[in-house]
Amino acid sequence: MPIPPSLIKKLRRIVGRKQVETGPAELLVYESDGLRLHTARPGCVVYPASTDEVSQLVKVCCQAGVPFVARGAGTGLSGGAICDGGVIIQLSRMNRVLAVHPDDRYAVVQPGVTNEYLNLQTRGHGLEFAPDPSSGVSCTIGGNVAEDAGGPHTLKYGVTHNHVLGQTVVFPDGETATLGGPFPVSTGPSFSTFLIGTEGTIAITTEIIVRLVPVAPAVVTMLAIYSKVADATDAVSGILTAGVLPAALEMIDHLCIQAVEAHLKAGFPTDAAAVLIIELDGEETLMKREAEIVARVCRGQGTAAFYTAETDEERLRLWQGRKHAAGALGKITQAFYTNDGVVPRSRLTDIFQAIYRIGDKYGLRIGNMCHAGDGVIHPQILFDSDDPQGPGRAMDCSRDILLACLEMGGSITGEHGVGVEKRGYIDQMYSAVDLAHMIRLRDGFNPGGCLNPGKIFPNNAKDGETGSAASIPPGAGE
Amino acid sequence: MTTESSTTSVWPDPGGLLQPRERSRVGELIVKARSRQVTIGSSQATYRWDLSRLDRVVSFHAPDMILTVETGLTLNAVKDIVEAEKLWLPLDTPGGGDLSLAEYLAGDDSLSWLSHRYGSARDWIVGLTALDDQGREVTSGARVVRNASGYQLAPLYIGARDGLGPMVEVSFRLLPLPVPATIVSLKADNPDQLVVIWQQSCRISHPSGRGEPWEALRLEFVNGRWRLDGMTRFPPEDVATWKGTADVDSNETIVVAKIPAREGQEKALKSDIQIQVLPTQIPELLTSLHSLDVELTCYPAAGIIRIGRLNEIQERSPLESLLAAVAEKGGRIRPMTEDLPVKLPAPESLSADIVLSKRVKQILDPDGIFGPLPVEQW
Repeated sequence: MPIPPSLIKKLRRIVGRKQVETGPAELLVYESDGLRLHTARPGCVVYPASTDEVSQLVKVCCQAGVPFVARGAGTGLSGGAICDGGVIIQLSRMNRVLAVHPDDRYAVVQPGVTNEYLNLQTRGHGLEFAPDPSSGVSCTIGGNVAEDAGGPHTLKYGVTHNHVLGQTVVFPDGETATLGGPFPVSTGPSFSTFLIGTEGTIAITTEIIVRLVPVAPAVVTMLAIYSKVADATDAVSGILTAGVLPAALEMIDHLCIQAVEAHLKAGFPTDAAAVLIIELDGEETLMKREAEIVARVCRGQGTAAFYTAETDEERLRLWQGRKHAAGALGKITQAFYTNDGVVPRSRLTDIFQAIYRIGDKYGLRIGNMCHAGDGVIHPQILFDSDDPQGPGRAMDCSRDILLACLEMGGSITGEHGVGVEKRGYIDQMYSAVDLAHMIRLRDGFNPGGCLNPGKIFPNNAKDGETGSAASIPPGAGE
Repeated sequence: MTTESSTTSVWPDPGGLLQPRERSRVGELIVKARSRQVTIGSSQATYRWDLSRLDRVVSFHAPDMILTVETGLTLNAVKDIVEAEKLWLPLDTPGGGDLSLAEYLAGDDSLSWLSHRYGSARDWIVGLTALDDQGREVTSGARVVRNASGYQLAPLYIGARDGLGPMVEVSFRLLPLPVPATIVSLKADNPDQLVVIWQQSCRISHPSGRGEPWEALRLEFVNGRWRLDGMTRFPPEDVATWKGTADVDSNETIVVAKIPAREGQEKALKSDIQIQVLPTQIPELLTSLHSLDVELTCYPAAGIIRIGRLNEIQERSPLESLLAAVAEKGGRIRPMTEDLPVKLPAPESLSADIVLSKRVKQILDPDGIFGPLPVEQW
């Protein structure tokens, strides 16, 4: 249903004529986020510049009964920022770092600030915002908050909710609230922390107070090369049980290594079954001792070779290889689908066996990169986009992998969120009572359901009506 | 008076404790309370919970570094369990760790000298099971380190003093037990020298002048003496240089502890009031409090000062004036006990966090079966 012209007029009155897009070509960009397999065309896109404008926008949308969704850089990977026929509230104009307080170690930012830009403003003070999603060059702090984003270095430093001290939010009725504050720690219930990871279904974040942590005084990055994936995954457990908590502990398997080397030449051996990137940071003496432990564990676990990056350049090249591995897959495939699951750390070996088995079942190649230390997996399922059944088969393959994660005691998402992508699986993870409790909260703050409808929970689920949200049956994606 | 609710239908006198022996009984009691039109939960409810008999370890596989337990276990019991497997839960409490997790989490008295680096309980909980207003168990989170599925209820329930329902099971993420730490203990006649050491040491480890040498840090004024206790992974010989020319007594100071988290915490002062300010406001505030001669514990980098033994203070109006000035500058003051002997500054209005928590209460417990939210204690 098109957006009523009267609403478009009201939106233009709030943000200005040029800040409302309705043309089909302009709207095309907003049909999907980073997950291209789920698309929905919005009715229009608006670009507010302030909390007050966001408040006015949501009020008129609610009054008109038109759905709306806040969006940052659109790098999300679960279809969380799409809005079928509704209004996209694009926060990219709200992109200022409002203040940096190095002595008290916090910064105040607008939601459209990217992770990289924030860190550019703070590193001169020897401080940084710890969450580091691989899309950090372009993804926004507002998006980090919506998804409770992580990244490789959250193994040691935690995820977004560990690093947000407060926020200003706008509720669907236009009410605004300033939550938390700049204090380094807080006690008591925290509505601000609760909101982090609710995927923009309860309120829209328009200002964020983030904790800044000291940049580590010293860093060591190591590469362990394995001829068997199981040896690499066993080494992950070995490192952690040896008492070492690396800043990051990442794994890439054979297919991704090939893609990376074809594209970036990060220095990974193309005949390896898997490599581990292990990064330690902290006080130098302690780190040296930990590096020796890591080397011992990796060698004991059958590493074919073990290197320590000697220079910053070498270190950055290894990280480029890891962070751009997904992009590099474009060199060897027309299309791929990014999965995001979690298993307990001790089940890494099992989940990789399951992933390869499931890939064989569907006749699909799967490349793997993962935050191994956290048990977060990101299988990249390659498919033929010219085959009409290709996307559906990839989605079925992804579903089987997520169900395997659940069977192993894990979760259907580690950091990409549920969005529209996994809402059909969430009742496999939580009971109907659990979901009803969550939906009570959503409906209590978003009673008309206009804010980001159809996300996280099964379609149209209301309190007490979640039972029919069965998982998507095999073949449904075809 | 207390009652063991699985063997008797006799309820205690109003104000008494309910001590269910099994998880299933918690839900039954909520259902029965509904039919009796009584409330169970917060301090202002008809009855309160004592969940200490729910003390099972639900799951613990050390290589996963996740522990799931019932909340009747004490924090110290949890630490014993995980340390036996060379793991660590970096939480402490000034109360000494003998509280059940249920009490500890409901009150959220989880700030300690470890908060400097490790935050509060909220930062370490990955899964939570509580009871809803119909007596049904509701779970959020998972027994894995990272999980972005659904809403995480823990931030709403921790510190809500059982006003949203009792928490019966919790999953913690854990860390490897760190290498033995250097424990630093310095004494001085006034806070200024100790503050200088704190500030200087934080400029040591990074070329830009910043760094984070302390894993735990506490300043305190007890028995007429100022004292700095800290825990660091820096080698003792480095730490010895941090004193610089500060005039401190360091005869007993630098020791290496086997299990660092336990050192010293039990000795911390029982608090009556918690003041929360920015770290940069701490030095001036400590100097003002020094002139008032009040006993206190301070976690400087966390911006927390806790004042105790208020009953022993003769002249209270200077303290009340100071608290008013702190509130005026945006600091937060929270009572830690009931019947305080000093008057706290009244907030101009309820904070948005409290207003929204009340709204959450209306949504999740519209009939008030868990008693009113004691929001004034937040």
